[in-house]
Amino acid sequence: MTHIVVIGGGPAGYIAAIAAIQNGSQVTLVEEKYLGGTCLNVSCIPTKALLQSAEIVEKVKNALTFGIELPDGKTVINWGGEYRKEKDKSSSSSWAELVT
Amino acid sequence: MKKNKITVKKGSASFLNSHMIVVQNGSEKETIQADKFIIASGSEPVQLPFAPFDGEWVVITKGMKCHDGKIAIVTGSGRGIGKAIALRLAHDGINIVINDINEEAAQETAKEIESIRRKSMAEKADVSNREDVFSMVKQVVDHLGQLDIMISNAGRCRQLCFLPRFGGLKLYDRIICFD
Repeated sequence: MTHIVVIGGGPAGYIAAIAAIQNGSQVTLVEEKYLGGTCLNVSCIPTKALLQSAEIVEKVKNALTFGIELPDGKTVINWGGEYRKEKDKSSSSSWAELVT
Repeated sequence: MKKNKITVKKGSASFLNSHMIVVQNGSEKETIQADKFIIASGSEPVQLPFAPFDGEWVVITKGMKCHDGKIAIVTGSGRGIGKAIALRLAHDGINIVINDINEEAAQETAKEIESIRRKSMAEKADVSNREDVFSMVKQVVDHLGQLDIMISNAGRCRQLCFLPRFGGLKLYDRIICFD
């Protein structure tokens, strides 16, 4: 069995690793920082998530325009709790399990 | 190593030879031998033992953008696309020779290049004339000492009809000479 080493765990590297393993090779993937790459972990995707949060804040502020009243009228941003749990679920630590 | 499972190693990889890498994670080092390697490290360069970065033939992506002090001729750069190419290269640190058949336009672009602190000179030359081109290149090398990049941007396509009354084969020759 051919042993293939893929250096880099970004969108190029993980696709190569998956293709190699599907074709019957033994695969080792080496990644220095973020499995899934910069885009997934610290760039494109997280910024879109932040953007979505900002849009929700904006909508909640204008809730009355849509006929929804929020009695205390406060919007509190909380990056801990449920948000953190969801984020950890989709973090790169579980990535290796997802792709195999 | 499990079958049908990707083994993931955390750390930075460097090649020992064409069949072996060492993966370093903090103080831990692991040597991995393999039949094939796929380098997918994006903008983070991986040094190959048989092809060291020499800055000339093998460069890293950042090195590719290091053009400080190079000399380029951009033909037909008095205006339009040629001018845009010249300005773009000047922003990357390249000194530009502005060639155009319209000397006034060439000088104006040269002034614009100088205003962003790059060397520039205007050279009037008809690129459809071989002698003119040779003489321009000689002038550039004599004055600036070197020529690193030549961009043949100048082109002409006024009419695509080669019937005698539209210019015939003379027009065809002129277009071909230009391009």
